[in-house]
Amino acid sequence: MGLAYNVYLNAKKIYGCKNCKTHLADHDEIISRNFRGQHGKAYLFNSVVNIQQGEAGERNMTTGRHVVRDIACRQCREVVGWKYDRAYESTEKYKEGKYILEQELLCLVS
Amino acid sequence: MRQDPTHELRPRPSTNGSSQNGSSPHTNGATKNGVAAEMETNGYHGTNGTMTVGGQQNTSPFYGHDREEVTRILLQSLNDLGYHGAAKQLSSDSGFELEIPSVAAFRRAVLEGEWEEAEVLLLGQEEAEGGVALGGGRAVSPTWRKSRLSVGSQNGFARHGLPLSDGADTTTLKFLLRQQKYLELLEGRDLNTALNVLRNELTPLKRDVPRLHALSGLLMCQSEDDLRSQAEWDGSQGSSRTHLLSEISRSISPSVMIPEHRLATLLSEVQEQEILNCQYHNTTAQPSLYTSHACSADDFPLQPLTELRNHSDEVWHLQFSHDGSMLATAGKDGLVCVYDTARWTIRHEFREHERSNTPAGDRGVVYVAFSPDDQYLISCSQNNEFVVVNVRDGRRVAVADHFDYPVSTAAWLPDSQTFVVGTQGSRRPLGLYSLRVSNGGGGGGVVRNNEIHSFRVPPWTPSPSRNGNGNGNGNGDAASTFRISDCAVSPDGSRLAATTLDNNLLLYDLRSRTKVAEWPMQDKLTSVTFSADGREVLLNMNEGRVFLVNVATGEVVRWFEGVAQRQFVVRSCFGGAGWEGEGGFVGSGSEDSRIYIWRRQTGLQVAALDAHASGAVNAVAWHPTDFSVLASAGDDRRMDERHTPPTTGTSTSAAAGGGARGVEE
Repeated sequence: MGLAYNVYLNAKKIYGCKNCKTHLADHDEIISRNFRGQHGKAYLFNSVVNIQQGEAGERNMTTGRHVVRDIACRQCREVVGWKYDRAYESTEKYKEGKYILEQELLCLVS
Repeated sequence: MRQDPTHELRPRPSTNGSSQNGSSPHTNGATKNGVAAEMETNGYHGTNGTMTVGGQQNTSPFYGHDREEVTRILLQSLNDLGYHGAAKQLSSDSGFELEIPSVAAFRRAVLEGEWEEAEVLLLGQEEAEGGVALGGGRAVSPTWRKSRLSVGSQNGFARHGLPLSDGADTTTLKFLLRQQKYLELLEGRDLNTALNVLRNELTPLKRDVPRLHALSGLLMCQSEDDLRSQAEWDGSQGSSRTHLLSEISRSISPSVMIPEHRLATLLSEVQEQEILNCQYHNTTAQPSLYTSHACSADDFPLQPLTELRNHSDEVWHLQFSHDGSMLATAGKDGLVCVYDTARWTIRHEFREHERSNTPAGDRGVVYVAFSPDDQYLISCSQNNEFVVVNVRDGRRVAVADHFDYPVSTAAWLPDSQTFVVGTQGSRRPLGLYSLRVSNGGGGGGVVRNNEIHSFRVPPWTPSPSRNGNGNGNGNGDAASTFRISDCAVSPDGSRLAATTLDNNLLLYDLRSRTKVAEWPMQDKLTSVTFSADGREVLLNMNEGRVFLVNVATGEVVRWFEGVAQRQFVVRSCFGGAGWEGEGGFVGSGSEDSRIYIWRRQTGLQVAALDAHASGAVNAVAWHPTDFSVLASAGDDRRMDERHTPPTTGTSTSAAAGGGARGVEE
């Protein structure tokens, strides 16, 4: 709907969508690298840009029950990771509102 | 000013007349109350009543206005129109004179070049003040005394000069008079006297020293023509004396010497005010003076005329050609259509961007622009390239795909051979491209990647090494924020305005290719357009703001309210009829599916048209010659044209659910 320009990040190391190189996140926004997704390694980011959010659903993950929603690149509509909406266990609360991007679906944009 | 020679005779009878009456009313007036002010406010209407022929003077107010003021303005207008007999009759009937004799004498003195007399009349004598001695050199004093005598006998203002308006600078007036005298003496090749004037009259005024130097340089002129061209002066036979008179008359109190063409000025002011207040004023025709002016909505594009449904996806941009014969539209499906505006049929369909091998979703064409001669059309697309086609035959003329980010905008220079392209990349954000290849090769081929200048600060070095930049805030960062969202070139080709993705408005001088100014704005900017005179730009800013900015100062001149804009690119344009090609209206798209139109001079919202069924209206364009047509591009895949409602005849409209609407004749 309408024409909207992509957001461009201003940082040393920027991760972008592997497909269309749209800027997705800043390397400095990584909170943890200790995650695994469907495709292997994944990072937990504080903030991401240029993504579209999907429907929220409850999922059982290795760390417990969470409410998550898939996120996709705005331009090419490829799923790049997910966002934690709610965590049921108190030890997992720190993930709420943060984003996971799978390393396999990212590329470095210089 | 009144060039009519017969007019100059006119004031003389009055001056002669007053002295013929023996006791001239003026001297009586001067001795009676000795205050020039009273004479001034009363104008001049012969306190003794000697000037009236046959009876009392009528002083009752004229529909709430001072009778004397109205009569004198009428007298001036009659004289301006050339009806001198009627003017004389009016002045004798009413008893009011257009000008007191001293003013008339002053006018005559200036027009005939009697400078000393003019100066005395204007400023009075100044012996007591010890200021500049009038007439300066000894050579001119006898004439001065003589003129003083003759003047003194005619009116009592010789002592005080003419009443000047507030803030009038007597030194400037003296300078003007003496400068004219000097120039005329030079023209007459009387160099010695001229030098005298320069030394003794102009220099002591201590005014405008550079001008003095210029004037003294004029002594070197060999001939009169040389003098005239160097001084930009018309010669004593030309209109320079009348110009001088106009100049000085501005400093004389208006009740004594009515400003020129006063009635015409008043009428123009009223008309301008009416035009400003007229909501739908969309013509250049001068409104009649007979009635108050208010345009009806008939001349205004409010009704839908036709829908164009050639695109299969959202339409993002559209533009009329400069002569109004074509309309180009561009959309998300990568298609560029060119329509003929007479019949709204398709002339060309360009699928240039489909040639490159990018996925279909990425091919949206973001911007189209006609060259000023309407020969070329440039289209900028999201697959990191732009293409220039020749509109007449549809051939591709130039292409550039050396970008690594989407090309967002383009603007032509007036020569129709060079253009500016803005992209969202940091390496080539704003570049100047040309259709001409510098080495002369490739006569008929496609010009490729022909960038002749890049407006990049700092200049891009090809080596991608960023490791040596310490904490990373070196050169790389400054360039990466310089991504262009829109750009525009002023119609005379001197200025380039560009908006960046980090909310700055940049202004470049195109001749020297340097940055002139940079103004930070509060929010995301999506569109910039120059006005026809190149002095203002129209900006669309996020959260629904459209405003005009003065290019010289960077200040916001006027706001236009009502647009909804939060996430998408919405564009606006100037349009409509107006003086000197300046559109009287501003139109903008909006995310709430409406077209908004405002009066440009006042900011009054004229219309909010429900143009499209859903989605945002991405761009609007006003027809450059037929002011009753307005086109809009929307997300519902339609281009809408709007026209005036039918004035005569039948209106046929075939309304089918979801189908195209018929043309209203």
